[in-house]
Amino acid sequence: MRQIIGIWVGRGVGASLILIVCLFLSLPLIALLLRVTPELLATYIPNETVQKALWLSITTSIISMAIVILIGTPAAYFHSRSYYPGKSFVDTLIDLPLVLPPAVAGLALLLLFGRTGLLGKYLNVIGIDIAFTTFAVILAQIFVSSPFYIRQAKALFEQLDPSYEETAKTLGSSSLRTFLFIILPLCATGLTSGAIMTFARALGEFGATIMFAGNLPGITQTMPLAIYAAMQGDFDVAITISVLLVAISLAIMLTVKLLTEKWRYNV
Amino acid sequence: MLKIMNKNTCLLILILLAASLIIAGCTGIQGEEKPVETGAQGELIVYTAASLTGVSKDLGSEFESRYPGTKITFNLAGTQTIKNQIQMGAYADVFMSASTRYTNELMGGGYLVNDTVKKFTSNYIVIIVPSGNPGDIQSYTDLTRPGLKIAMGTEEVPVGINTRIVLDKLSASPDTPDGWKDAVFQNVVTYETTEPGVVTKVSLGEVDAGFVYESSFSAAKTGSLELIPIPGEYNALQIYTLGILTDSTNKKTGETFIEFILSDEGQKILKDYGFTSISTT
Amino acid sequence: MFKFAARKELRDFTLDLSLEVADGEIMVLMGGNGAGKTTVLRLTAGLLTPDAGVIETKKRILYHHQSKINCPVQNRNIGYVFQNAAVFPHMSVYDNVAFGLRARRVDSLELADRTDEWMDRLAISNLATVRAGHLSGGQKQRVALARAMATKPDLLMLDEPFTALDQKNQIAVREWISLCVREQKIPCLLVTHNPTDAEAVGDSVCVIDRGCVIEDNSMRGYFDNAT
Repeated sequence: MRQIIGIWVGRGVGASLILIVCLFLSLPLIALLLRVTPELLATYIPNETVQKALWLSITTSIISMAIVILIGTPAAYFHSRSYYPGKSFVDTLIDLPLVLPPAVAGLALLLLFGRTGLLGKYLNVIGIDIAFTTFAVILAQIFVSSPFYIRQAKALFEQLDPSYEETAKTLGSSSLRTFLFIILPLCATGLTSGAIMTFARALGEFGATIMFAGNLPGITQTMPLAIYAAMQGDFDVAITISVLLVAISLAIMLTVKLLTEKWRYNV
Repeated sequence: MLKIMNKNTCLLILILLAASLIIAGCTGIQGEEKPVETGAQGELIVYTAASLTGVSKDLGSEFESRYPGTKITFNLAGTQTIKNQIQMGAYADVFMSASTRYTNELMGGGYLVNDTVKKFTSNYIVIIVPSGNPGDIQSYTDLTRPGLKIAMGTEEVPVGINTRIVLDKLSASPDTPDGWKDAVFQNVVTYETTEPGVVTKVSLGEVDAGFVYESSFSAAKTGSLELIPIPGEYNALQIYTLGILTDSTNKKTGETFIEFILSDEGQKILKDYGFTSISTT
Repeated sequence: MFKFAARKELRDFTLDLSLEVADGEIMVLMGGNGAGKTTVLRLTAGLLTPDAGVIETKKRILYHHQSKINCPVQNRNIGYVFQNAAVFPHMSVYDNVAFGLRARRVDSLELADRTDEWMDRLAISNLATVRAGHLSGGQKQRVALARAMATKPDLLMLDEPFTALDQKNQIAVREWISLCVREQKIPCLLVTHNPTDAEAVGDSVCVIDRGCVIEDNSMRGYFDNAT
């Protein structure tokens, strides 16, 4: 009897803890959504600030994601397949932006690429200015979001059974061919979800961007920056952009979930 | 995401959360110190306009040394931000505003004890350039030169509002070429959400010029900035106001604080930081 | 013909042995866990580099320490079937069998012919369009075998090809292997730890332990064939 009570108490505690977690995570979003009416969205989605920020955020995040994939995939592959001095240091470096406050990242980028920065002062001489441009937005996004993809890619390549690529090689396949036709397809699901997480992080990037790229509508004012600026003026604009971001984030998380559950190969 | 976080990370986050709750609890208890009936006592939470960042430290420490047992905690942000926070229910004892517009808004909403609201200082808009003046800006008319980079406040922050007033006045001047204002806006590379944000971007040399308050120039490290004044007739005087919040539980100390700010000592500190005294009516 | 005489310093012991397998002959490499059986296959395939010695097939020298010859894995032309068969799960059976031919840029007509031929021989033609990840263990072994044989290798190597199979499939796979080796007249090196398999499929048996040959009746097989 006592045992049965114990089990039920245990279940009760477990259920209430889960409930607390769920409420804590969902109530703020519900509060946000309760402030929204279809009329509000209809009025403010066509708003110039909202449109510019939405367009800028999505294009820069896609470009950032593409650059991270193009450079990060082969880099992660070489990293996972080789042993070199300082490898664990590189591992830490790759993960660093995950724990680094974005404001620090923005300041650091400014001190590197800014007009008087370490590298920026030489770029300035040859007529290249990076700070306060859309390119600066992309650099900030890449800096903070790359670990989400590269970590995932590294783990996937390390976990992949080496017999597939070894077999491919014995069949006469070049390293490039093996990479493109064997390794990439076998890791495709995981790489895709990593890429989507990178996109999501880039989309939400705020701190590094406002430090390094400034806040200029249409050029560097992404959605999170527009929310922050609008908080000081038109509150309804802030709400509209926030709701758009929530919708995009939810769509992203659902896609990742579906991909990882349904798209798995029977290896 | 979940895959990335291992057990240890989750555990760490839990511990940090727990720790922050405990710390938050402790500070709550500290707030209720034993009340002593003589004059000013205890902690005063002052929501302060970001352009007062420099001077607030000196005002706070001077007040604390004059009235032992008091402690001033400043919450510094753009005036519109601290106004929003108060409207959203943040607790504050004193509101120090760079904008009469936002002060009036709070008074209208019943957030301030209206007869405590006073003007306490003022500030002029100036143009600052990095030391060495890399953009070679001699006068406001040089700001339109193509390729220059300019920083200013957003149209919502007080400094941004006043910058736009100044720009309007200047462009109406007979000495100013046609299309001057539009050309200036063409050169703006960032609209900062706080006044110190503009100062930082200029002092780092990342932009060639910025519109800020004179007090920020005075507060900056000597030699890090150069000043280009804007003639008085075209300038916009930024009036600073302060007042006690209706919900304040320490109004007595708040009144003492306001008296101190308006006293000669308080005004002298403000003056040292480049603020302009005004007749307190 | 296949000759192996190489030395490799391993963590627990030094592998140092000589083997010789004639065309059309299956040599079974036996030994306990960690005896170095798979290492011999990996050294031959070029996935590991020996410290000294010579490895060669009829057509080419794969490794020659003194002449500093070390043929890259891709050019060794060896059929190597891994213990788990390692069929590419994301490809169809057809694409698996054709993979080595595509990698070697065999022209499309011949590619289709040889792929069809080997799918036919190993009775997997009916599975041509099935994604290889969905196959059973026995089917995977046959796909892996067909994939290796389609490239016309100079040597066939099989690592524990029977472990994942049931009785019926074991017998079938044994027959497929014998068929491939006899018809194509290539040497075959087969690793197993099971004496029954060894006896059933091998023309000769070589037992190794800690990297050294402890029992070898391969020479008899070799001479039988030669005379």
